[in-house]
Amino acid sequence: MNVYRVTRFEVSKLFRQRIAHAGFIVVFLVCCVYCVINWMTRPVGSYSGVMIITDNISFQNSLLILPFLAILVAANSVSGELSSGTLRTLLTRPVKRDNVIVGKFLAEFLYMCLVVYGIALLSFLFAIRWGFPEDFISFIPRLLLICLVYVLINMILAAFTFVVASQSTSIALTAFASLGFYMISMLVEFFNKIQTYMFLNNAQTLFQMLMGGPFELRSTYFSVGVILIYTLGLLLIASVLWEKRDIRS
Amino acid sequence: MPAITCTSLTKIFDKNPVVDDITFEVEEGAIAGIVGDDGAGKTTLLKLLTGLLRPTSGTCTLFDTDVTRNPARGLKGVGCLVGEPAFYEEFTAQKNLELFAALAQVDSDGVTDLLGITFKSTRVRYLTPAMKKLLGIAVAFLAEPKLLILDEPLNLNASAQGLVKKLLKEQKEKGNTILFTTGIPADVKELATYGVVLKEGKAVSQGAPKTLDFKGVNP
Repeated sequence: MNVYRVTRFEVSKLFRQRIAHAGFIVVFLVCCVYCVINWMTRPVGSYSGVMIITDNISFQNSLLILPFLAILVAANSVSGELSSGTLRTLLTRPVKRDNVIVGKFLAEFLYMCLVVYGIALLSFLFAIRWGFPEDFISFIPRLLLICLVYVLINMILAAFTFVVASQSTSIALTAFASLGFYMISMLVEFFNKIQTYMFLNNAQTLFQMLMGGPFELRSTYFSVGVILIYTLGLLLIASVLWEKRDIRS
Repeated sequence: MPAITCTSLTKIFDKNPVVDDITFEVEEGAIAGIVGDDGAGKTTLLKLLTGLLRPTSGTCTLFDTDVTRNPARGLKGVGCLVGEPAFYEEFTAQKNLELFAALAQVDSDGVTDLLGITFKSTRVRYLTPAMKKLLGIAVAFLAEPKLLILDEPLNLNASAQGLVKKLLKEQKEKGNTILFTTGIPADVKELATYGVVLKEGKAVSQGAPKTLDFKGVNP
């Protein structure tokens, strides 16, 4: 069974699961609360419609809502399914284990895209109050890319979660380990020598560039490269570990 | 050609051999029964046969494909129910069937009719263990497999057990191969053409059901 069929299986499962619905509700509630507070405290002219969109996503990321959601969904789809036995049911079909991991990853990527672009869309509706700059239409592609970078940061965490989940059947343990990885990544950013190779630092570079900062082709390629290497590297490690794992449950 | 070949299959967990040097063959079109008490290693053996576990030593092949090396290829055309049936508890039985049917690119209606599943709209969370078992058998029957590997498929109430026995016999008539486990020697005597008696991970007796020595297995 190819990746497409497994991904379709994972998507139709994930989007019906309570954890996914709960994630949507929490994220969109926080989004509305953030927008309403700004609506009440920032009069027209004192804020930009563009800023509320990017600030809202950034706020949810800083509050660890998006990272926690990405980690929880990934932990549930691997550790949770391993302990409940549903992964065993799936693996007794003629399906390659690495296809299962890739399918789960792609399904979560789609879910996180919906979440992040959903926040952007909801914020956009509130943002009408403050209005948009004249060149907003030309800014839209950049805005979409900013959202994508947020999605990718969280997918790195999901990929790391798959690595941890290959060795653990406890959702809590897997989630804590992945949150720890995120915290350490944030702390490591303070060390100049290695920050260049950290995904969060490179995401920051991309954000600055996309928000209208100076554009440097070389650093853009480098940052995109680092983020992709983290994502694909962790996914590869997860696949290799999964291939060797005994399914005892 | 043998449908299943196990050669010196051994699985050791924490220095404890759960499956110990088991060798047997199941010919195509046969019904093979593995009988043993709880903890004899029946489920572990099936997990090895389906590639869920990697053997410590030995090999197992399904239709010439070594499942220890390539489980995805080995399981093509194989319907499995291994261990306690596990499904997505938030979904109904029908939704679970549809998910697995879509994965196999087949229709799920055939198996629900075949097994007389009347609890289609009930969430798996509320199903009894016997209903889950029936659902597990239904999933194994999707995609018309030529080999069925079923873990304790007769651990059901009397009417469902009768239905499953009838289905297994029909599968044999179609020329399909079946490997099932049970804790009851009478099931092997009634259904199987080949039997293996497991005790503490070892195959203590194997061959035609009439020749099997069930000593030590609870009747």
